[in-house]
Amino acid sequence: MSLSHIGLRYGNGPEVLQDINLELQQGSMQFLTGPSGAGKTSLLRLIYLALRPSRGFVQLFGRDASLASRDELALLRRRIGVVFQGFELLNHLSVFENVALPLRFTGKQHDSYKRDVEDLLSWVGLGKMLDALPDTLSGGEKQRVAIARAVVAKPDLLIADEPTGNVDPQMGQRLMRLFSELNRLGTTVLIASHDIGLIETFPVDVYTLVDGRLSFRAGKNKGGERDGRA
Amino acid sequence: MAERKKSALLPNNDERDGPLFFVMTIIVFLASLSAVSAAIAVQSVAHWKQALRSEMTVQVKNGNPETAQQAVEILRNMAGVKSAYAGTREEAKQLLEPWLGSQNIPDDLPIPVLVYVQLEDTGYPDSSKLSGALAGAGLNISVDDHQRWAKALSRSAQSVQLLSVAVLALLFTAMIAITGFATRAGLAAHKDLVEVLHLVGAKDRTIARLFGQKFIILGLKSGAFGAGLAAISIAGLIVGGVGASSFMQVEAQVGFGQLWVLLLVPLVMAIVGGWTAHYSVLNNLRKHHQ
Repeated sequence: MSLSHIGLRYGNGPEVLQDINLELQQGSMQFLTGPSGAGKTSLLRLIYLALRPSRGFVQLFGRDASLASRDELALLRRRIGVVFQGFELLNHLSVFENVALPLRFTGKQHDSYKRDVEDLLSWVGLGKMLDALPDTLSGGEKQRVAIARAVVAKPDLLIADEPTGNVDPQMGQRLMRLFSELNRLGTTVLIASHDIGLIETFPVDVYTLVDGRLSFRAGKNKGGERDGRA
Repeated sequence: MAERKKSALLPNNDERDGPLFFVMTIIVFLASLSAVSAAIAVQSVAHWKQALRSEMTVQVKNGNPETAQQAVEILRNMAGVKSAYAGTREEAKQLLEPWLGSQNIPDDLPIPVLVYVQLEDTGYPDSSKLSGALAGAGLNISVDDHQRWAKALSRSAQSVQLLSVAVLALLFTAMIAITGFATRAGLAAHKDLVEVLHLVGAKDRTIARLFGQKFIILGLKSGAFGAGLAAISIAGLIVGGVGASSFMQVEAQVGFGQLWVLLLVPLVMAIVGGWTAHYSVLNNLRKHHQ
């Protein structure tokens, strides 16, 4: 995944992202941090193809997303798992159905993924809440459902926006282990987080976004620091 | 654990569905009435025209029963004539009653005798052959082949058909407009849901199909109600009409035979509604969504 000279503005407003260059190597894991309002969510939305940039190019899985048709965008999105900051669960669907949602669009039969979804929900501690509706869940439980939905299809790229913000530290560590395990299996992982303590526990590259500009710091034992370009 | 079934991706309990159901029911009701009216009109006219084609009336102008009987004998021997019989003076007087009343016809008033001729279904003679044969025998008659009435009926049927088609076209247009409006409203109300579906990899066509299916189901449900109401109304009119006039008995047979249209109208309306919703969603997504 790479972003080249990306600029983003909403309507006629000022650029909220300026000249962003970012390249995520396949199978890598990175953190994205920065103060509130710096544009982290906008940057993530660009990467998971919820927004088109005002300028610049987004390259995903060897395909220029700006040239992709709407159907091709849908196929690209199927290779991306997203943990939204606001969870974005569908309140009329059960926990099981929310998690199984990405699999429904891949044409898989219900019976072929039923067991996987149940196992995954058990792993995140929601094995007894398969038929519960999201409205009946706590914030932490919703977050775990959102994470389970993001990883259920074993995506090539996982993007998580503050994935541990609503869970206790123990569950946070458990979820981070899940992300690490996925990364170990080949999934590229990008996690936006305010939690400096959490970030410091992982020897991975860190991008910092301030006032719409991106800077890069290599992870522990991974090299030095530079600005503006990853 | 109980077997888990897939839920509908669009919520079923949308509060906008109630008023929409009501409006669609009314549209299907009116469309059903219009379509059945058109079908009954077409079928009735065909029935009447068939009846008129297979009959002719010979008017014996001097009113002499013997002349009438002579005409009957000639006609019965003609090829293509199934039967012929002379009406009585009493029958002729009954025909005049609407104009002259039952008491105002003097016995010595010369009333033409009518000879009713029933023709074979195929290969029947035209009126000129009948006239020629009777005139050749020196009878003072005139033959009415009812074509004047048949043409008038055709014109009336065409008018009813055109009017019904125009009403149906208007109702279909209304259905398309309402469905398009409701779909856009639904899309706006479910903006977040649509975005989530997009982001987990749903194609536009898949999302459009969800809305299309929802409107087909809504259309079928409201169609069943609308067509049911129309069926009750039409049956009431026909049954009431039969009691009021024996003339309506024939129309009742024709009318009940045309109720199949009530199955067609809601089906077509549902398909039109689903198609409209599908394409409204596709257009909207392409215009307004990433």
